Amino acid sequence: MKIKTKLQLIITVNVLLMVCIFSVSLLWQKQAEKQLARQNLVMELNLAIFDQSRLREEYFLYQEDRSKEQFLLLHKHIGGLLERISRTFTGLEEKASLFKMTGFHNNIESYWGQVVDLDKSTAVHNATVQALRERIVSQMLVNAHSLYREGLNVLQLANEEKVIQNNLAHLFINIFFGVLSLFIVSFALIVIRNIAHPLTMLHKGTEVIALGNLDYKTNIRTRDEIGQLSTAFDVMTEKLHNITVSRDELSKEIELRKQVEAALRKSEEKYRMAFMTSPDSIMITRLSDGMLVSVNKGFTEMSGYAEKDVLGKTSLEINLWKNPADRKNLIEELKAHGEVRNYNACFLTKDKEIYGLISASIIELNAVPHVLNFCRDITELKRTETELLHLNEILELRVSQEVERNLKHEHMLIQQSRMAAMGEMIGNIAHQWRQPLNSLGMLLFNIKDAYQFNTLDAAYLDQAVADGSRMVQKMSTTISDFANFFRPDKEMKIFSMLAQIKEAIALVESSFQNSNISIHIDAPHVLRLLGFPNEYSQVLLNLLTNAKEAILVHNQPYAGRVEIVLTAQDGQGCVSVCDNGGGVPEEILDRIFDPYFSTKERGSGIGLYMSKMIIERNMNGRITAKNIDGGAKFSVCAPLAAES
Amino acid sequence: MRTKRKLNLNIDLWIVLLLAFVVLTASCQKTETFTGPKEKVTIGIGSGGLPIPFIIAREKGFFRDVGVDATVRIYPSAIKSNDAMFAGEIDISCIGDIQIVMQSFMRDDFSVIATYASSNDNIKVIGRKDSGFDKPEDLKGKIIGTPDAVGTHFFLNVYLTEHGIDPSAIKIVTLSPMELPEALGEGKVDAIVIYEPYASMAMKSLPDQAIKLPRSNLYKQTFNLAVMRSYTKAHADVLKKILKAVDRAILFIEQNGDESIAIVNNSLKPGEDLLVSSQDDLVFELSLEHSLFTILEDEARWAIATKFTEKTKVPNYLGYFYLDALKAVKPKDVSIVI
Repeated sequence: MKIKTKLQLIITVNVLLMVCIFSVSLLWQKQAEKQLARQNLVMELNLAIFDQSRLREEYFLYQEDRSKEQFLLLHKHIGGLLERISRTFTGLEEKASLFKMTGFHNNIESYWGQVVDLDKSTAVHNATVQALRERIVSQMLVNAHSLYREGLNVLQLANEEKVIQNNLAHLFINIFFGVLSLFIVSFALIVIRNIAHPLTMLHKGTEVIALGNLDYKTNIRTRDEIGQLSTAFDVMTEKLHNITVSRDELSKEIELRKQVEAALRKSEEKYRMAFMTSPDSIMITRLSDGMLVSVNKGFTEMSGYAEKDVLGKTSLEINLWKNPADRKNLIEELKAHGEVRNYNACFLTKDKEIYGLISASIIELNAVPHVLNFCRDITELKRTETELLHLNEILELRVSQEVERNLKHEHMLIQQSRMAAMGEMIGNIAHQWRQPLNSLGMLLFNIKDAYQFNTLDAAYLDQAVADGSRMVQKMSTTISDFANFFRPDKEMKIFSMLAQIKEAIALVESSFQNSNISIHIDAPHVLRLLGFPNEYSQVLLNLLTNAKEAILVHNQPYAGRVEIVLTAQDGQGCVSVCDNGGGVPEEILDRIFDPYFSTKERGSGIGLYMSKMIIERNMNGRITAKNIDGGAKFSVCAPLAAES
Repeated sequence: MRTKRKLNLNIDLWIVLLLAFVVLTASCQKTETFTGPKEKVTIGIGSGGLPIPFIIAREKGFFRDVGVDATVRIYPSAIKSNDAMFAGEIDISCIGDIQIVMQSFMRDDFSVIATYASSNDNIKVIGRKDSGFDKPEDLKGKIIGTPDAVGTHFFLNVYLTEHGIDPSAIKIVTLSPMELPEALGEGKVDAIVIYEPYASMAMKSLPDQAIKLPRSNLYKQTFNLAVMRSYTKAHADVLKKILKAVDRAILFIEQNGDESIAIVNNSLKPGEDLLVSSQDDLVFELSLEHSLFTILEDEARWAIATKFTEKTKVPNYLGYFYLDALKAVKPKDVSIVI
């Protein structure tokens, strides 16, 4: 509802209210006047009743006709009043009282008539008549009293009616003022709610918007003028917001464009610089005919042609391609894949022929496909390549020669090692044979002595022959062992680690005993390797020999000890040779496997190197050395043979 | 915004509802219900229609509502009820105006607390048609049966005087109220002067023969409630409560005439049904009118004149009324000024 309508309504209601009030006031006034009239009537009745009593007393006193007449007149008047009052009073209580009053009034009339008649009669002084008169008077008095009482009751009721009306009037006035106050308050509330408050909101809105917050909404959606104003205000704010947003966006876009343009210019400049200053030849040609559109400094320097001489002409026109088919192939490649990388071609410059490595791709300039062509002069590179090839060949030759030499050297080393080992072995053989030879010598002497002393008989001779044969056999076995030891293995085979160790020990056992060096073997498992058993034994022999020499050099006061332990670890069969020969000095520990490195005065320095070669190269194993408490430990591991 | 407005409207609505509730609550009249211990009171009433308000008050719980445990005893006559009160058997008794007068000649230790009923036709003259009764003047020379009660004697005196009949012109036979209807029926008397319910009994016993003569215009009998004076001092509150309950019963009778008769008929205990009957001539209303003095003095003068008492002076009846009880209940109906 519009404010105007509301205000009109309020005014109308106000006017109606005032009209009602005035009407009610008038009505009330009339009612009050009526009530006053009734009250006056009742007052008049009561006065009349009182006067009637006075007249009755007067009559009883003086028995004058005047009193009788006046009494009757008054009585009639009272009757009339009663009738009038009965017509005006409508309340039940009033009507009941008036009805009673009428009854009493009629009784009084009857009694009055009887008394008057008795007074007139001649027997008035008769005791019976007197008694009757007394009775009648008594009843008349009772009725008179009752009449008067009821009259007072009616008067009281009239007064009460008046009081009620007054109270109602007061109540009405209070209600009126209350309603008026309510009205005023409501009006004020309406004004505040519908006018003042929205205006305040609008004012607040203007302040908020002035501060820049264009998202503010008044949200006043009443269906009146304020609501319309508010809606228009919000629409205006929204449009302003949109305009501002658009402007801001436009500004942002402009700014962005500027930035993009600046970046583009920078990028353009960058690429132009890159294009122009690149040492490689860069040219842009039209895909369809190869017309040069743009060339860089690299091109002009490479080709010898100036930019102005070539732009607008095709690459074929200026005879760039030594083999025009190269261009054709290039273009086909480009069309197929869109780009080409590292395409070799030969070009004819102004004064020479060059080789170029081309990388090209198809680009669009003004919606026309062009070829961006990078070409690097690889003439020198080509030449260098050729030279390199040649050098490579020479190198390969030299390498093969060197490898052959190394193999020979290695072979020689092996031979030397073998010789050294053999030398060692010969020493061992000598050592092995010394005792049997001594024993054989003793045996011969014993035979001679036995002949001299005639104790030589067949049994003695047989025994001696047996002993001698045994010694010879032992010596023969030793030779065989040595022979076999140094026979190179031709093929790999599965062998027992322990067997080979024992073989090696057999060769040095006696020398070890002589040197007071004990050998202990710990081989809980049967371990087999695939390899070259003799070479394996050679390695062990080398380790044992080195251990003995270390012990002897160390010159310890206690007995030398060599422990050999066989273990299996991760598929590897390992043998460790531990001695108590004082160990290897730490500073040379990592060099002991180098060729020609030795700590012995007259050592060849190839024993451990060869051992390393044999184990690592031939048997795919490894050999290591480390110092242990009081000595050194050499470990040799090689893959165990597969169980089959 | 809208939520705030809605909230404001809600608050306004609640305020209006609250105010309306307060106004309605204030305007509702609640019937008082007494919940404390009830005082015991015994009320003695005469026969006929006189007990009706008290029976209504008993049956409708009006006595209970005011906190009184009232016992209503119905006696064959008000005289018997008075005797019981003076003997201390009951607390309150119904007493007729003539009994007030006769007792006032002998004692002054009782007080009248209210008139609760009146009648212009309580005592009736019923004659036999075959005795030649047609009008009051036909009483001359007849045998009239009456109870031995001053009231009926007074009435008869007024009636005879009213109709110009010399009291010596009739023969009076004194019988008990119960015997009178039978005596009339048997023709032992020509007419009886008797009150209810015996008058109705007589009419019923001779439906075709009995004739009720016109009532006296010079006799209005009042029925009052009296207590011992000492009772007024000790039980002033009880008297107010009794009158309140009786007033409420009278209002009920005015508004629910037929229902009242039905309640009375359904509630009568064995023996009471013989003593209680409805009376159209009885007007129930609580009052203490100054005109009662006129009646009492008039009757006193008659009693003195007729030697119903040895006293020679009319007592001052102002000392025989206790106004406070009725003033507390219906002040505008107290017109006696002490």
